[in-house]
Amino acid sequence: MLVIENLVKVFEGERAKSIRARRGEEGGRAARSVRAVDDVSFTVEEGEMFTLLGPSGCGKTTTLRSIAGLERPDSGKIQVADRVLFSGGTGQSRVFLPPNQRNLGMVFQSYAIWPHMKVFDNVAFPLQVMPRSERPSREEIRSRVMEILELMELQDLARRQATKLSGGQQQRLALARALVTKPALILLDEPLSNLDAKLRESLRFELKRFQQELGITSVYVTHDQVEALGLSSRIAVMREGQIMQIGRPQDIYEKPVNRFVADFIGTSNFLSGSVSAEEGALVVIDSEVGELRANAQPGLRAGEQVTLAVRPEGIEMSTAAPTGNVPNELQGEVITKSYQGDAVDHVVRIGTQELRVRLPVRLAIDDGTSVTARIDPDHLRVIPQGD
Amino acid sequence: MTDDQRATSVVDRAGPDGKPGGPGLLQRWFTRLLSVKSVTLLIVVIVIGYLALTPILYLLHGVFFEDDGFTFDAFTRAYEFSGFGTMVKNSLIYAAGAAFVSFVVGTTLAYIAVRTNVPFRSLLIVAALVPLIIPGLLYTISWIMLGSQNVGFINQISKAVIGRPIVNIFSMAGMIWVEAAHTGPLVFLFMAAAFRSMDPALEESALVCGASRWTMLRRVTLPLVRPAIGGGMLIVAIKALEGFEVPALLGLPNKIYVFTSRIYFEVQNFDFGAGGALSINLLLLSVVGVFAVNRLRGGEKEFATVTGKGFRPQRIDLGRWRWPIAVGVVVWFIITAVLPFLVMVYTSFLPYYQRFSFGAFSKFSLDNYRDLFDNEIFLQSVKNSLVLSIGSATIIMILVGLAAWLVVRSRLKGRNILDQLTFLPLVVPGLVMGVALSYVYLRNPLPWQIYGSIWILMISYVTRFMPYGMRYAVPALTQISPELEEAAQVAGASWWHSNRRIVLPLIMPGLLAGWIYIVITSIRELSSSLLLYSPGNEVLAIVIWLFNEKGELTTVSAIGVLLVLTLIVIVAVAYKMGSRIGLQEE
Repeated sequence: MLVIENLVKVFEGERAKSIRARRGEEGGRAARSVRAVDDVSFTVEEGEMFTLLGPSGCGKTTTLRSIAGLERPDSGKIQVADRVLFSGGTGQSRVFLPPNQRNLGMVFQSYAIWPHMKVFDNVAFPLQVMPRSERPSREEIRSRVMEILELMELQDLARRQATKLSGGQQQRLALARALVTKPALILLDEPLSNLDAKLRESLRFELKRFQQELGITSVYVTHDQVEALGLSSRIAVMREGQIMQIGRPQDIYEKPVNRFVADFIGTSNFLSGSVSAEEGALVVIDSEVGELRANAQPGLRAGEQVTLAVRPEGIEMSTAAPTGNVPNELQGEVITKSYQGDAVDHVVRIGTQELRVRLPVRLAIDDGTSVTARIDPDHLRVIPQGD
Repeated sequence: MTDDQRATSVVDRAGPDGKPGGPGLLQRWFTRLLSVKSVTLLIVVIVIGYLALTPILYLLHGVFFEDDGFTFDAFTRAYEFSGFGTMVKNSLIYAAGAAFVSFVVGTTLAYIAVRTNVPFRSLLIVAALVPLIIPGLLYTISWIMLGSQNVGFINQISKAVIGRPIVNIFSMAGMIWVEAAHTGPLVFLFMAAAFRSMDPALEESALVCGASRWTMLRRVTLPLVRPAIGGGMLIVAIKALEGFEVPALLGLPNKIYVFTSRIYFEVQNFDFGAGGALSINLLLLSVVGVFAVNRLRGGEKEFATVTGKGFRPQRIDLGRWRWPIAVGVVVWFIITAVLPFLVMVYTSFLPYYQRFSFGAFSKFSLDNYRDLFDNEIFLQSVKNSLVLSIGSATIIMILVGLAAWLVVRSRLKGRNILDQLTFLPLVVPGLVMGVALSYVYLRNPLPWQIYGSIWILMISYVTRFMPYGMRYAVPALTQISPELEEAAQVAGASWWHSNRRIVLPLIMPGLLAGWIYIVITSIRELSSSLLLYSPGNEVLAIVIWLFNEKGELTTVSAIGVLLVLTLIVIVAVAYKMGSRIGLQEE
């Protein structure tokens, strides 16, 4: 459906400076250019909700704006169905369709609701500015606008001034405007980031429902991992212009390919160590807290330096003494804990290391208690170093 | 239409985007160049460049190249006269004095109005602005009627009470006083904005830390608004330096020359070279001043300070000082606004100008007003002024609306140069602009006859007030999130559509405010008009000037009263409209 190949966008001057600042680079005053999008390729299938996820300055918004035609990439290719929207070749093969000819829908971070228009006019606008030959009649515009407003449950507000809507209503209005021309693809630029936490959660479900009901293909940009995990069919995690990992939310969470992804998505404990031996389906790793066993994965050589990642909820913990007959039993002491409402996070000292361990409230353990922690090899992720 | 659209998007650049050598490159380059958008924008750039640059280039050329090639003769002649040093000293004393007085008064009034619980606060805000509405020429003439040694109203009272006159308006002190009273409102506006945009939590935290009100004012409030103070004082100083009316009317009778009045004197004696040389001196002073203002304000843009959050400041309780301060404010208002206007009203009813007496009331009539409407020159000047002010305001707002779009939204290379070009005329004092434009259109680079027609005034007004228009257009556009425009583009709108349906309606209030401001300003313009008008093309300010020269103060007063009333109505309507579309804060 949407195919992106080797997309590159280089920023210079002020914009490069601002990207470098957001990436936390020590850029100084040198007028270096920055590859905001650095060789990005991915494919979005029909009906998918594809998310670009990453920290500020990672290039996710620039990628989205390049799809919309609001940025002009330096090279690469963007194609929707069999229509080439952008191609960075030379001469005749060079293509750049301006945004107004791409037939896409877009929801902006600020919603970009036109404040001088009524709700109805905001939604009608994309239909009214169609080329004369394709433009629907006045009657049809009316019925199509009302249809989509009904879907968004805004029909009673059609005559209202657009700025008089609540945050949630504005969001649905922006969505209605993006959908009214029935575009093949809609782009969403952090559409929930302007809302308060409570509203954000309920709108997340609403957005997912619309997306599934209408079977819209969409590309979604966010820096919020909870949003990304909850909404997406697939996620691309980006960093400094490059895609680190593409996968289903569960894969990304459970099998991060590198330390960055493991760190950015959710919370992880990291331990360093080296591969010492293989034991059938398991691999033995000499780590800072002693010998640990993880599921073997191809490509690991004996002696190789690795990073181990384990989620706080991937560690079991009790006051019982070690049994000795399961792998990865570690003895330690609870240093402190913090109550989270639905769980309790413990900081546990094991040898010289401190691990974060999450337990259900009823299993919480007091500070200062000696404990046995156990990590199921399934929950221990081995990340080759250098990644 | 397709070609036009192909060339339109917020991100495109004016030049060709491909590497050289691709087939069809030239053709694409042409289609792009010939799109509605490019042609419109190109014309805007050319017109603005022409308006901003020709006066200065011609002035420089005219002064340095006289009959026998490159020469400094003009400067020698200009510096030759014996009082040159005194003149420079006078100019500086006058500018600094006016800046200081108006700063003290304007800042105090602004703080009282914005930050204290003084009674009649809203009245105070309106009252503080009244002198700004009265044109400088009329304000100065009013003060002559109030403060001249023999017949001045104030001196008549003082003679009756203490036996001698107390003020002499035809002096340096008088000049400073009139200029300061007239520009005080400007400082007031600026400082009120600064005080309003200041987070009250900053002051409150000083109090919580145990500071007294006075310490808070000294250590927190004033340092916080220091950029505004510095900028404000410099602007008033530059304005005084460039001002013509006050030094011409109050200084010339006693031969107190400053730059502007000396330039006028030289030009009157047909030494355009010497006038031009002095103009260049004044221009340099003004450039230095404007540069300093920009430095003082740092990278912070002017509008960033006024569009801050809507803080609701905790007002300071003045306690037992509340009423004494209120009385002080009212007295200030009476002296600077009510008296000058009343003396004008009084004089306008008199058959001939005379001392104040109650007997004079019996001679009151409307004859002066009646005569005005039989006066061909007056009627023609009203028509000229209307055509010129409405015309120039309209031309300017169209020009700067497009220029602002280029500067704010496009990524065109060189857009900063366009920005600076638009602001360039700001550093050219009105009188200097008059001299410079005489140079330009006596040689005339255009195929039409401009000199001696009303069009030279139009060009002068458009050039001079273009920066003011830009001041309104740029913030209006900056306030609109670029996403609103991008949303229109993604929705399928062309450049033309997204401008007509999204951008234009949204910046209209800003453009309209600028338009009204320019109409009001250009109706009052005197200094460049005085050098550029020709018989038959008089504008209102010129007619007032001429009547004043002939000593017909009763006629001047009648015109003044009508003009001030008209301006008050325009300002009031604009203010009402402004609050309806949400421009004003209070």
